Amino acid sequence: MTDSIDLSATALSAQRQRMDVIAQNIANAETTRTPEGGPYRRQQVVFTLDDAGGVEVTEVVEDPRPPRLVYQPGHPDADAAGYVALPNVNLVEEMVDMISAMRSYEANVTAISAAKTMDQRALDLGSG
Amino acid sequence: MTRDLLADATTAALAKTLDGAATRHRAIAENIANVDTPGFQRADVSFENELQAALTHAQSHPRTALERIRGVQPRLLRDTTSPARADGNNVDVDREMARVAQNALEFEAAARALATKLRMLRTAVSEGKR
Repeated sequence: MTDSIDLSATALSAQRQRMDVIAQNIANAETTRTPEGGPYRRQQVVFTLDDAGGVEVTEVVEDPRPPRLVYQPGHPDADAAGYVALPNVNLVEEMVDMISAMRSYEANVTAISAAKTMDQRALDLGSG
Repeated sequence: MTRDLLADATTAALAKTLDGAATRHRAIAENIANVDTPGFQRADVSFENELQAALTHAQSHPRTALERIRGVQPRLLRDTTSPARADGNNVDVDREMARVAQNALEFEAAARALATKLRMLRTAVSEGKR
């Protein structure tokens, strides 16, 4: 049973990493300067089934969609035509993703607490 | 004469139920953990039918009953028939949550019955010394 708890824990960790990436996307939704040059690009996690049946984040990949072009001639990063390339982050999409990550996290917490109760019952067998 | 005090069909069947429910919980935990993993196919565990068959067998063959019950192995199955989402994953999280609760109750029922069985045994042992 502790095996089941370990398994669910891998999912807690994976969902938290997903949440970290979502937070990073939201925080940088307006960032126009990055070390690689150009606007921030939306990141997303890739979940993979691990050997023990758990889940792990194997990579964090960049969203290939193009940046949003907004007409802001006064912006220091505007191009000759007055357009600023803003990150390809859509806040609504991030919010939906965040709720989904939270719900998955909660589902795994429920699985862990059920496993804990079952473990406890098994331990109590010896002390009736 | 030495005799294993726990070598009876009831104890063996209850222990097997606990074993099966624990294995099933692991499978459900795997499904819940991978609810967002593309291409994942849900796992399921089957042991009740086999255990039922062993118990039916036990009624007519008391000699081999214990062996037969202890030989029941919970089997892990991959569900390839449930409808999958666009990403190839076929986990329905609501169904899995219901199964967690159901399975925990099954475990609890077997644990209580086994505790009662052990209490009866303890009573027999302690009353004998008076």
